[in-house]
Parts: sequence; C-alpha cells; structure tokens
Amino acid sequence: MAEFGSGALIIAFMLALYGIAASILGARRHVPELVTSAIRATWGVTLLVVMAVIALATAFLTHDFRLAYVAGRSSRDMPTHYVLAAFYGGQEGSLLYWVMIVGLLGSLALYTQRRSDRALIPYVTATILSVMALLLVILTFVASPFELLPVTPLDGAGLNPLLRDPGMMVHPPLLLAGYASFTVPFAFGMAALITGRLGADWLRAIRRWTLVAWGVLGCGLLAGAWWAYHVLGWGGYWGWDPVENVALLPWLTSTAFLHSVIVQERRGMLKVWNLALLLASFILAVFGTFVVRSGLLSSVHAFAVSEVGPWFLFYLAAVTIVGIGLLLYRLPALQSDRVIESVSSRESGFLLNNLIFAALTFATFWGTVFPLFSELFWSTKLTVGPPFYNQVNGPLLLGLLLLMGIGPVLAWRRTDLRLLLRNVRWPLLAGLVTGCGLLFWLREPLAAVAFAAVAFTTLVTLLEYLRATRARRRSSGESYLNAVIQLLRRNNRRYGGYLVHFAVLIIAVGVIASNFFQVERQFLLKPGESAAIGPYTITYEGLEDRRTADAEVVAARVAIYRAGKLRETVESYRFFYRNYEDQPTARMGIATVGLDDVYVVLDRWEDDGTASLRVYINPLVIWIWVGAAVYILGTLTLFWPQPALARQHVDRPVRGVIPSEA
Amino acid sequence: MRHEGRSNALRRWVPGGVRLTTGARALGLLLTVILLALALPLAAAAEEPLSPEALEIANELNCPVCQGQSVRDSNSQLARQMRQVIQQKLDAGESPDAIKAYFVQRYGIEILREPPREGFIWALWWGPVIGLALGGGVLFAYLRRGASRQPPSEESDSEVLQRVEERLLSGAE
Repeated sequence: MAEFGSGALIIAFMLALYGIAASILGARRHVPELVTSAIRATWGVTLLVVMAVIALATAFLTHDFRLAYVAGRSSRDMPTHYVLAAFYGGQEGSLLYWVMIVGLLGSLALYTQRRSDRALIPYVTATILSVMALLLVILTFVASPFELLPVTPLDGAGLNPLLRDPGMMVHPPLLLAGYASFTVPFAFGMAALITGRLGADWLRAIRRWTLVAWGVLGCGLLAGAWWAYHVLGWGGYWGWDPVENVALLPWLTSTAFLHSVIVQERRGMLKVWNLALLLASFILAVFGTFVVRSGLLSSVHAFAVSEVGPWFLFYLAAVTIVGIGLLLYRLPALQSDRVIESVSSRESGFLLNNLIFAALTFATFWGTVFPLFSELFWSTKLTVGPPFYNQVNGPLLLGLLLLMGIGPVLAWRRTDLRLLLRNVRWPLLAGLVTGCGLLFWLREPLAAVAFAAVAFTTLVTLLEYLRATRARRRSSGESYLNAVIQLLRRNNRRYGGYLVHFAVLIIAVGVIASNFFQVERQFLLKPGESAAIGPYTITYEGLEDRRTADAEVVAARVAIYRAGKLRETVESYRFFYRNYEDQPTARMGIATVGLDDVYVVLDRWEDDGTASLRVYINPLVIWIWVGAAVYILGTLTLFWPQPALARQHVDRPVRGVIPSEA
Repeated sequence: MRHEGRSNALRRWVPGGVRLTTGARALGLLLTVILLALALPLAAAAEEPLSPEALEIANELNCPVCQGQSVRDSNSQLARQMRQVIQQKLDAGESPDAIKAYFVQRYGIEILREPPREGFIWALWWGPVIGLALGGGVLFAYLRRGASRQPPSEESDSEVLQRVEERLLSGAE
C-alpha cells in the first residue's frame, strides 16, 4: 500500500509538471490541443492523488503499522471513526487531504468553465497545477505520509487525546477544505491578471468559487468554536488563539471581497482592489495551513513541528511578490469604468465595509504576529490575549453591525437623505428603546450599545424582507410564506445574503451576552454537597469510573436546580487515554436551562470523592449555535440555481436598479 | 473493581496537565518544577475555594504551560497552584496589582494576557489605529477624487428607483 501511495504521488507530481508546461506552451503558441491535454492532466493528477488518499485510508483501516504516519496516530483499540479521522490528524495527512480538495474542486471548476473564455483557461490550469505540484513535492520529499518504519510495531501510539472528540470529524476537514478551496478563485484571479481580461462572466465564476471557499471555511470556524466550547473547558468558544486568528483572516478578506465584488459587477469599479482581496485570501489561507502545521506561532493547535516551514514561507513570498507585481503591471488595464458619485451611496457603504474588514484583518494579523517580532527584535516574550482583541476588534465589530443596518437602505449612486431617514426611523427608534431599556436593566453601557445596534440592524433587515414580500403580494397575491420563498429563490443573492446577515446578528447576540455576563465560580464539594451560582444551585452527586475501549473515564455527576426545581443532571468527564495517561482530556457537562448554559468543569478530585468543580453560567450561548445553523442555511440559498432573472420583465435595462444582483 | 479504576486514574494524574508538543512538554515540566519549588511553601495546605476576585486576577494571567488559556480556565496542575497562590496572597491582604507584579517578576511580562502599554509594546496598540487611519485616509481621498470628477449625471429620483425595484422584485407576473 505504501509503495502504491508514494508511487502515485510521484507520478502525480510529474504529470503536474507536464500539465503546467503544456498549458503555458499551449497558450503562448496557440495550440488548443496542448491546453486540452493540460486540463486532462489536471484530472489525471487529481485521480492519482485520490488513489494515494485511498491507499493511506486503507492503511489506517487495516492498521498497517509499517507506515510511520499510521503507527504514530492510530492504534487498534481506537473506534473506527477516529482511526479514519487520524488521517488528517497530522501534517502529512492533512496536506494530502488539502491537495486532494484542490484537485477535486479545480477539476470541477475546469469542467464547468469549459465553454468560457479560452484565453483564460490555460492560466487557471497552470495555477492550480502549480499549487498542487508544490504540495506534491512536500508530500514526496519532505513530509511523506507513506514513510516506512524500520521495525513494525505491534500497535500504534494512538491519536493525540485532544483530537479524540466528535469535533474532530467535522472541524479539521471543513477548515482544511475551506483553506484549500481558496485555490480556485485565486487561480481564476491569476488568469485574469496574467491575461488582463476580466469580463462579467469570469467575475461571476470567481464570485461563486469564493462563495464556496468562504462558506466552507465559515462552517469550519463555527465547528471549531463548538468543539472548543465542549472540550477545552474555559467556558468559551473563541479564545483569540493564534491558530484561530489565522483561520479567521481569509474568512474576513473573502467576506470583504464578496461585498465589494457587488460594486464591481454593478458599477465596474474596484477591479484592482477586488483582485488584491482575492490574492490576500489565498495567501492568508496558505499562511493558515502553514501555521497550523509548523508550530511557528505556538498555540493550542500547533501539534506538529516540522521541516515544511521553509517551503511554505518560500511559497508565500513567491506568491506575494508575483501577485503584487502582476497587480501593478495590470493597474492601467483594470481602471474603473465609473467613479463614486456621492459619499451617501451604496458604493461608499460597501467601501466602508471593506475598510472595516481590512482593519479587522490587519489588527488580528498584527496581534497574532507581534509576539514574533517582539521576540526577534526586543527578545521579549509577549502574550497577546483576548483583552487586546476585545479592545481593538470590539469597536470595529460594532461599527460593522451598524453598517450592516445602514448599508441595505442606501441607494446606488446617491441616496436621498430624507428617504433614508424615513426608511430607518422605526429601526432607529427600536435601537434607542432597546439601548435605553437594557442600560436601565443590565447597567452595562457597552453591552446596551451593542444590543441596540443589533436591534437596529435586525429591524432594518426585517423591513427589507417585509417591503419586498409586500411588493410580491401586491402584484401576485401570493401568501406571505410563499412570497418569502419566492424572494429567496428568485433573488437569492440579496435575500440569501440578508439571511447570512441574520445569522451574524443571532450569533452577535450570543457573543455579546456571553462576553459581558458570564459568571464563574469555583467550588470544593464533597459528594452530596450543594453550592449556589447566580440563580442556580448545583448539587455534586459523586464520581464514577468507567472504561471504554481506549480510555479510562472519570465522570462527575452534577444536578442543577433553579428555584428549588431540578432542571437537569449533567456529567463532566475526564478521559485518560492509553499511552497518553499524563494528558487527561475533558468533556464538559453542559446544561441549557432556559437561556443560560450551565457549564461544569471537573478540575480535580481527591480519594474520598471530594471534587474541585468550576462552574460557569454562559448566557445565550445557544444563540451562537442557532446562528450557525442559519449561517449554513443562508450560505446554501446563495448557491440556489438562479431561474431566469427578473430583469427579463423590464422593457429596457435600467442600469443601477436591478436588485437581483445586490 | 470500580474503586481500583479510580485509584489508577488518580495515580496517573501527574502534575503539568495538558501539554502538547514535546518542546512545550519539556518546558512545562521545567516550569512546573520551578513553580513547585517556589510555590510549595505557600500552597502546602489543602485546596481552598477561590473568591471571585481571585478568579478575576487569574483570568488576567496566561497559563505558562498551556498557551492560549488563562490561569483561571486552564485545567493544568500549574494553573491550579497559581490560583491557590493568588487566593492566599489575597487573603494575606495583597492588592491585585501587587499580585500581578509578583507573577510578572517570576515569569516575565508574557504572563500578562493584556500586554502592558509601555515601551515598544505601544507599537502593538497603535498599529491597528494607524492602519485604520491610513485606510480611512486612502478611502477619503478616493471618494473625494470621485466626487470632484463627477459628471453631471442623468439622476433619477430615488423614489422612482425604489418603485422600479419593487416591481422587479415581484418577478413573474
């Protein structure tokens, strides 16, 4: 199996080199046969990589411990799904998975675009193949998953215990796939830069593929938040940990792109800026992959310390230099068709959105890499923790929330301020009432302001739906539900987008509440004893030992009462995995009572059963997971195949008012 | 049988808690040993429950062996001992600032989750502000350039636009 896998990777690498040469030569010398051959080479490379993936997966499933990678990450007593998940539990496997995603999506993109601009396709092919070739070099010569051990062990070491969690089945594959899929829009962008051709169809394809990467990465981030919340035991879902930060960066830049690309489609502006965002997203995605797997910024996630670092660093530098060079070279060809006419227009709203997203990206990047500089230049070790990000990113996020409310009511080109005021007077009032009410009730001015912003934006978005639904009903007499569905179907870019806005708003409620109103207590309890936290009383009922196939488990049972009534009983676990007994992991006991999460961490225990428990009350965290579901739904509606556009019903095209593309 | 299982689990509960890489593991062990030497005279007695003030201070300190988590939230043995030290110092009447200074003296400023605003670290705090200001400046210049070059356009009334938009929205009919 090992020979088969590494052989497939070597052939894939050579085929990729051929494909790059064929596509560039074909484009330069105008030989369409060569280009076609290069496209087929991409499919061939993908097939070979998939075969290598199957070989490695088979090695895992058959416990082939001759392979160092398999022996180091799995063992016979692990449940099958974790054995499979161990595939991407290390650097080699995750890079192999990465290159497979690039190949699959790249091949799909080349297939769907087979009828589009022939001048661009060769460069898309060459870019995708060059990304794959680099990874194949690393997988063959630097970090091969098929390396054999001199002596075959009887059993493997097993997966790092922190990774043995249901979250492992979802978060890494989504996150890695998200990173990898930025390759496709990047390749499209590079082709546009190299040829200097950037038509409307091409832009639409770029947007669609960015949407794929953005949606997958977003789901990956949310799954990671859920995982952290259940396992890491700090009562939170986002720790501004370096590895989390670098995963957020490409999401931020691609969100910015998805907004500013609308301006380009509608008004022919911001061409260079959009391509720069595309480039930045890809570079940051590679940076994210590299950081997770290099231990450059040591953090909770940086398991692997390895030699691939210099390769990635070299690649990042090369892409950055080539990309910026091409952007400068193409600057004259990518001039805007129009100019901004008024500051109070939808265009400048999008620009402001981009400014804030760029600032968020920069601030997060700055905070993440600053300790590196500090150590290099001032030999001082620093920790840039959540307080920094809360103070710096907090205000920016608040600004973004408000802008999300104002943006949709701004008109293209120029907004009549009277009309604007009329459109937002009710949301404004709702925001003010919410803010004042909460200030009085909660006595936390910052939280009140943030909630007020959420209320304002939610109402604006709802009114947008209502206005459009009414318009549909007036003209066609549909029921409200049907009208909303038709709206999403026919106009998914706008109303699906608003659905994602709703998701962000729902998540914002959970984030604001749990950030400002978390309560934490620590108790030392004997079995049967109780303690009070907030409106809750918890009773510690005792410890229990269990044994699973691969671990010993200590479970603490805790009953949660509110107003004298038993609401729920939870168990908080400690796992001691075989071979990793000195690294106990945990799974928290979490009870959702009403709007609060009661979150129980088993810290420590004595022989007599006395336990040290940390208990958190996390208000409204459930909203974050509800928001996550809405995010997925909203993202899916964005892919809804669009029926014939509404613009067919207009006698002549009215430039600047076609809502289907906003 | 059950009891035996528990004592096994307990025996395996070695100090240091969750450590990730081998490098971090070695470092963690070293730090644990150092801290044990430092803190044992203080944390000799049985564990005492922590006050909310102690938890607040613990949340401002970074757990040295498990990066990314605060002393309040970490499950590691070292963090547990540090929490106890904080509590004992509070009981002894020390101020929160003095307690934090004590830990900074022992571990360096990387123990603080919020980097102090001093010396070159100002660059960390001002960086995003300068970035935002520069970006805002560029945006402002761009908008002004557009406004000054603005041709007199055949401006349609916004209300008309909105009505057209609603017509379009209603789709099929």
